[in-house]
Amino acid sequence: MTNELLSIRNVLNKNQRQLLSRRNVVATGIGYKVTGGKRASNLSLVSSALGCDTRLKAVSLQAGDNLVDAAIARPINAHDVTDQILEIGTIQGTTSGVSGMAIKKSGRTTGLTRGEVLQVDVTVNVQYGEGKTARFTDQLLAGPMSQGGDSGSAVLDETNLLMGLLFAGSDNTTIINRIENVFTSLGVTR
Amino acid sequence: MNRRLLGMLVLPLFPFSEGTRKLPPIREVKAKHEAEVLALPGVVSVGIGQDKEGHPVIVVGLDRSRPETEAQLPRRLEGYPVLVQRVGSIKAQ
Repeated sequence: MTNELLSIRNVLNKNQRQLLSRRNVVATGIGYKVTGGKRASNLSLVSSALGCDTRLKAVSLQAGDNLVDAAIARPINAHDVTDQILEIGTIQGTTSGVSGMAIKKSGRTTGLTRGEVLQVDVTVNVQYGEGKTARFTDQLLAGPMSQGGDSGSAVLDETNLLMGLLFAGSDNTTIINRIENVFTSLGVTR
Repeated sequence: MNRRLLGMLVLPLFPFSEGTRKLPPIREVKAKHEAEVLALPGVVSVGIGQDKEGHPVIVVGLDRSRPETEAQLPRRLEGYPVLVQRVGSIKAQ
């Protein structure tokens, strides 16, 4: 299974295996307009996992402050999904990100990379295409460990405890949603 | 005399020097000031980091070199140092 999608369980339906990723990655998979060539490979990648009649539950970007950029999707066939993350293995639980925490992710573009949480409680303006900016609060900031196409990657500490969802960055910075905010916003748990 | 009472007697002798003054929580200080900081040209982020000694600092991220913005930023906010870093333009990935 792809490293951009993270298998989780919905608290409302404990036996239903679901997929968590950045909203755009999931939306792309169900036929939302693909913007730019970078998303093109996501289309086949997610489509093949989810099929075309997948239902989407998204947390929309709001006019005010945002906490997460995430969505969940239900695979047509639960056997198509495993709990394994490419190059990382099995998630051992969850933890809360703190300054100085050593972290890693496995992403589509840059593969397995490592970094460190440099800032917490970050309020940050994130660009979504030309002229569109969304402000996020309570984010985690790490050094450079991702590029375009890596968003939606699960971010874990060195003991494979899940701590965040990667979604944005610059040449020298990576921005991560706190996993506790992701789970609370979507009403899911692991 | 028990230790707590002894502490109450000793503490007021050194209450107001800069080094020992109790600062408000850094999250509160950042929350209070971040809107005005983010309103300055080129500021893309405000967060809580640590200096080399592990002390909490408020970190202001700029999209590029912005001497005029840097000149407007305070060196400290309610006792906490303000560090300025160039983080570049942050984009959804």
